[in-house]
Amino acid sequence: MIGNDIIDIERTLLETDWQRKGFIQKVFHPDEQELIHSSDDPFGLVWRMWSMKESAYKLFLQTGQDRFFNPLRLRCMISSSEEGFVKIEELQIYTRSKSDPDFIFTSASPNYADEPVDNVFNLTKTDTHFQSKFTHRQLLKSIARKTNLNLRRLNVRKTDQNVPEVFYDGQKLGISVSLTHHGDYGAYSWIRPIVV
Amino acid sequence: MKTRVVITGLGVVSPNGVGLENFLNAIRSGKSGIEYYSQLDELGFSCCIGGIPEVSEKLKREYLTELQLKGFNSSGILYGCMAGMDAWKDAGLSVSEGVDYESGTIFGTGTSSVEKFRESVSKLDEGKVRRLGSTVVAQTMASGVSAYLGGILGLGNQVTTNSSACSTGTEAIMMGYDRISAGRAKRMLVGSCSDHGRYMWGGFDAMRVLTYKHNDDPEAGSRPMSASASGFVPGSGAGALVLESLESALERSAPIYAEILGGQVNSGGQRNGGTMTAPNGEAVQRCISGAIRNAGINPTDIDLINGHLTATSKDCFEIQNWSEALGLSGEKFPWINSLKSMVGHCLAAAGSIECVASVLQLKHGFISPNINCEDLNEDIGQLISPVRIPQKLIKKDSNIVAKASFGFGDVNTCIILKKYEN
Amino acid sequence: MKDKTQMIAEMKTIIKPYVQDQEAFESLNENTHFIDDLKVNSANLVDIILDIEDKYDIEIDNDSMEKMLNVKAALEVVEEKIGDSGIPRNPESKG
Repeated sequence: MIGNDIIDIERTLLETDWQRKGFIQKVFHPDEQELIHSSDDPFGLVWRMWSMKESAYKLFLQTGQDRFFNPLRLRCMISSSEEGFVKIEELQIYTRSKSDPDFIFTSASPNYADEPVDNVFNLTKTDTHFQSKFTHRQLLKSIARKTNLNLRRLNVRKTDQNVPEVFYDGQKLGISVSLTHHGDYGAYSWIRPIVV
Repeated sequence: MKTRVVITGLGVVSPNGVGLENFLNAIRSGKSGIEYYSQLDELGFSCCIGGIPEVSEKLKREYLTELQLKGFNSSGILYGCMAGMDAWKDAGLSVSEGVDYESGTIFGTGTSSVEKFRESVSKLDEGKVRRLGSTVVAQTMASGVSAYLGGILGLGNQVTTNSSACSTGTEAIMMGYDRISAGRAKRMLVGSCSDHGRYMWGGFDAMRVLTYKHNDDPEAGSRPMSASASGFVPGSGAGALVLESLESALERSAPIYAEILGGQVNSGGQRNGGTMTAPNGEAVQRCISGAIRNAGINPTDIDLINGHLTATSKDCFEIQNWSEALGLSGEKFPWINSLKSMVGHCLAAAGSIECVASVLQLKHGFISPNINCEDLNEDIGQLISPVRIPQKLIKKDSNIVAKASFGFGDVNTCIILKKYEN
Repeated sequence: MKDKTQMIAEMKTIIKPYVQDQEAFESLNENTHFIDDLKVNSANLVDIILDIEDKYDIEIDNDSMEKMLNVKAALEVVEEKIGDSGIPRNPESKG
C-alpha cells in the first residue's frame, strides 16, 4: 500500500489562502494548529502536514474504504524535518517528505522499513488531462525498467474509488502505486511488495 | 454407543480459489492456481513456480481488525483465520460474547509465521529487542493459528495445534473426530494452514524435490500421476471444517455436508523401506485397511479416492499401496484424483484443503478432473484402468470417499467420508 | 424554500473559481463530482465548504462535510443545515 501528494508552492500561493478565517480549523487539530502557530515556517508546515494527510488518505483508500472528505480524521505526528507519522483510526502510516523551494512532496507507506520508488518531475503543460496521462506514463516507464516487463503491455486503471492499479496484459499486478500532480509538478510512488 | 460425527461447515483459502464458492467453481473446471514468481528466480531457486491464494488488503480487513493487523506478518495465520471464520459462518454459527465450552479447535501447521520469525531474528541480531512489538510470540509460537481462532470465535473446549508434516490437515480432522466421538466436545473446528514464500519453500528446493522444468509454463507444472512428473510444486493456504456431533447438528437444524465414518492414523516407523521422506508401504496399507475397518465398510463401497499424489516418483507406489490394501485393480479400482494438479502441494495445508474438496465432491455429486496427466505414467496404467483417472469433470453421485495424506516422518492418515442422507 | 434549479445555479457560482475542467463545469448536474469531474484541488474543497457556510450563514460540522464530494451531497447538506435554523435565509442578509 502506498500514497503520495505533491504541492506546487507557487501555484498554491495563488490558489489557497491557508490563513483564511476558518480554514485551518477545518483541516487541523488543535495540537497540529499549535505546531503551526509556534513554527518559524508556518506556511511550510501547513502544506507539509496537508501533503502528509493527503498521502496517508490515499494509502488508506487502498485498504478498500470509500472516499470521504474530513482531514481531521487524520492526525499528524512530526518526527523530523523529513519523517513523520499519520494516524487514522488504528492504522499508523509512516511518511517521508521533501521540501524543495518549488514544491513539497510526501510519500506514505505502512512501515518505516519500506523503500518505495518516489520520483518528482516537471510538467510542461497545464491541461489536467495531459498531466494525468504524462504522470501515468512516467510511472509505467519506471516500473518497466525495474521489472523488465514490456512497457507497451502495461497500463494504469483506476478503481471506482479512483485508486490507481497497474495491469499487465489485463492482469492486475501486485504493485501498489500512487500518482499526484499539481501546477508544474507531478510525481509517482510505487512499491513492489515481497510477494514470495 | 459411539457418537456419530458430521461435517456442518467448510471454509477454504486456496491458490486456485479463495472462499468456498470460488474454490468449488475452480475445482469443477480444473483451474490451476500456479504462477511464476520472478522473485524466486532472483533468489536462485530452481523451482520458480508456486501457488499463493489471492488475498487483497481489502479482503484481509473483512476478517482481521486494523488492531490485529498491526505488526502482523503471517500469511499462514491469515489464511487459517479466513478459512476458520468462513467455516464457522458456513455452519450457521455466530460468534457469541460468552465462551463456548462445548466447541474447540484443532488447527494445524508446519511452521508458524516464518516471515515474522525472520523479521524478528533480523531485529534481534541488530540488538533491537525492544523494537520487536508485542505480537511476535503469538504469531510465531507453533500454536499461533489455533490461539488466534480460539480468541476470535470464543472457543472454550480444547484449543490446540497439531503438526505432522503433509498429513497435518487430515490428521486434525481425525483428532477432532476422535474428540467428538468420545463425547469430549460437541463441535470442533478442524483444519490446517501453511505460509507461502521463500522461507517456507526454500528447504524443499534444496532437497531437489521440486520440479524445475516448468518455470515457463507454470500451470502445467504440477503433474501427479503423469509420466513426466519431475517433482512437486509448492503451494500455500488453508482449509477448515466444522465437525459436530450428529445430535447437536440435528438439534439446531444445521445443514449437513457429510458424515465421517471413521479413519486411521499410523506411522511406518521409518523402517521396512520407510525413511524420513519415503513411506513404509506396509504401514500405508495398514492405514488404509484400518480406516476401512474402523468405518465399517467394504473396499468395494468406496466410490472415489482423493489421494496424496504429489507428482514425485512415489505416485506409482501410492497407487500400488491403495490397490493392494483395497484388493482392487484394473477397472474395479475406484475413481481417483489428486487436487495437487491444480493447487500444488500445500504442505501442512494440503490435507485440509483437499478434504474440503473431497466433501464438496460428495455434496455436489461430481468428480473433479486431474489436470496435467495426459501422459499417464505407464506403470500406474498397468495397475489401474486409466479410465479411473478422469481428466475431465465427471458428474457422479458418490456415496463414499476415502481421503488420505502421507507425510514426512513416514506418517499416514486416512479418513472415510460418507454422503449424509436424513 | 428555493427550488433545485436555483440552488444548483448558486452552487455553480460558488464553485466556479476553483474549477479546472470547464467542460464538466458547463454540463454540471447533481451527480457531478468535485474532484473526479471538475478536477477541483482538494485544498480548494475546504474553500468551497467555507464559501457555502458564508453564503447560507450555516455551520457545516465535520461529519456533514465528510460526504460532500459531489453536487447532490452538497445540496443535501445545505438543505439540512438551513432547515435546522428554522427559516430559509435570504442570502443577501449576511454581509
